[in-house]
Amino acid sequence: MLGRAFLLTLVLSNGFSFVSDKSYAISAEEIIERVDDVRGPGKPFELNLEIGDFKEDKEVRRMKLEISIKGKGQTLKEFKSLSKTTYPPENKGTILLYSQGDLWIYIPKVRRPIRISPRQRLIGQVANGDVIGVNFADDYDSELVSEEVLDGKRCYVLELRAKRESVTYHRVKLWVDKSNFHPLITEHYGFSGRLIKTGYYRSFVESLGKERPKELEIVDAINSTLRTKMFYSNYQLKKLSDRMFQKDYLQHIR
Amino acid sequence: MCKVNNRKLASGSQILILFLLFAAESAFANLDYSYRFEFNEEFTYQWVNKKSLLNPGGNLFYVPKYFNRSILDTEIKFSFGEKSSLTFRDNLIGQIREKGTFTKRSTRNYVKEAYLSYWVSKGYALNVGKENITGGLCYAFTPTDYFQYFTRDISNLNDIDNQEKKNSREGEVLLKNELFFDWGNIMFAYGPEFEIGDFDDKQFYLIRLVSYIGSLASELSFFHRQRNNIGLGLSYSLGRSWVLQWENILTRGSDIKTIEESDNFIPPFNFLERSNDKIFIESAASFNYTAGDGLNIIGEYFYKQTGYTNKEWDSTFDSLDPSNPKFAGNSLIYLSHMISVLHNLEVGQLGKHYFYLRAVKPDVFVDKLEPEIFCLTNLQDGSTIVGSKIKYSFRGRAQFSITFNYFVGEKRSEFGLIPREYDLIAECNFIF
Repeated sequence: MLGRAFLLTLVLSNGFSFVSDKSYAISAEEIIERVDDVRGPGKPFELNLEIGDFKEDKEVRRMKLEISIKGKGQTLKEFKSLSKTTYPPENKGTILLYSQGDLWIYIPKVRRPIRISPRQRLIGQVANGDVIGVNFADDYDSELVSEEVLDGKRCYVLELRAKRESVTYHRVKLWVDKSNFHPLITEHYGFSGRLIKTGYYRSFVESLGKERPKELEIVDAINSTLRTKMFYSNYQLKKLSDRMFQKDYLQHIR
Repeated sequence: MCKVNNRKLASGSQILILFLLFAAESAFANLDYSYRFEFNEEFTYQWVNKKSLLNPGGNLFYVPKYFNRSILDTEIKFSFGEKSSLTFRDNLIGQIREKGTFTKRSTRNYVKEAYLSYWVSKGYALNVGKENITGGLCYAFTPTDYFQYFTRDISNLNDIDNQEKKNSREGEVLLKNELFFDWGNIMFAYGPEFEIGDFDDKQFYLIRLVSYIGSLASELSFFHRQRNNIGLGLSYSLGRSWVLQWENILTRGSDIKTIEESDNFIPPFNFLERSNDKIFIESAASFNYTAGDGLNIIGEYFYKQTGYTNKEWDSTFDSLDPSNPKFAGNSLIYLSHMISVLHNLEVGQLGKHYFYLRAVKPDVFVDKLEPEIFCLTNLQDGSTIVGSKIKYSFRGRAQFSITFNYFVGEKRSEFGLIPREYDLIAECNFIF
């Protein structure tokens, strides 16, 4: 009986979402592609990232990174990134390599790249996946579920589901500004279905021919006094060779 | 690593001068530099293990109650345009050691690294000078890290995780070639033979091939220095929480020495090396798990075919017993044997089977506190080192930590041999 009820629910919910997706003039995949275009240009690029960790509105930590990204908009196998810490002094020179879904960390003092899991935390509310993963299309299957008005802006609301275990969050709910495809809010859910974090994209400024977010604030869902702000700046297109994105190369990065 | 290496110091300085001349020749217009100074202050208090067979009653050898170590770690890197750079690392170490009613002070300085990197072409890097080559994939035991895969200094067992030990390791004088491709890289390093003063480093070759297929990273290596070694390492990430790693070497002979009864009166026992005609395997398998709340757990099993059999352990323990008839009641012979034992046996790496476990939870209680617990167990006799550490970071420039180690083991067990029962280590680091 319970099995039948579950099957019925599954069929109805799938049928409903299919109908609902079809009823929009644009597909979820197209929206995600446009959102990814806002989050990063379609070519290899570099940017600076500053991360501030706040507790009860007081900054408890700050971190500065130089990030190189290659492979946006391509397949996961080609998506690669490097993030080099320039501040604080205790982490200066530490490099995080993301390649083909795997993470390696290079600590200059130790001189050896060590493999870590994407779940290992970088700072405060920010998982490594938050920093290096700028591509929704590669990481999630998307579904357009509704339209809403948020702060006077008409928005698409999308449900994203992780394509693989290695993706940082199991499910993400995303609000996208209909007029310009700016991501506005993301809700991140764990395997249990519990809300873990909420992200707020703010201050869109012109960079490399497009308005891109300058700030992303991530708020802990259980304790909202725990916040992490990420500030993006200095977007630059750059030629990046594939051979840079391997663990033994990290020693040579300046 | 614990020796004062004048040879390496001299050669490192000479290389540095050559490099500086080269640097002067290079385009100064493109000169850039970065630096890092780290000051480390470490105070250790230790309690004597009076049951230890290596120091019965705590009377045979003097174990200092405390010692203090100060280290100034300097790193300067000059970049000359896009193609070349010069890296220089130096350690200045000062030690104060309690010795009865007075203290013993010592200082030493050594050039850890001084090497020039040059990009011959886009995928070909050439390094020459004194450089620390690290290797291996696992965490506590890295058999394919040929220059030191396991700590020989068991005084600081809180950082038995090899990452920390690699930091204080001194580089080798070498020429290193690295070729980078999209699928991986090939490295060939050559170290020439040196014979200056007490040191006579043999020449070495290291060839390493690294490749990536999906989530699988693999390393194949060949190393020759006195004996041949072949290594294979595999690393694989499973989902977003797990990393699994496995590495092995096949090696001819071993540095491990066993104790056997001698036919002579002096010495009453002989120290025998493993045969260089035999091939032995050493293997480490590890997991790294991160939970959703950030808790990180590392577990690692280590097998050494060269390690002691139960029979060899028994003969070792028998040889340490002052009432052994081989000493014929002669305390001088016994003392002479014990001094030889201290010089020849590397307690902490004599066993066949070990298991290492570490759990770290970042950002608890307050945001900058990191508690850690760990243990290292000899699976043959059950003896264990249990430790805990708590670390506090201050303004991204300073770290304070307190570590407590407890050596658990019967009299006739590997970690029960360690002549200390507890260690308490207070440490602070400043980076400027």
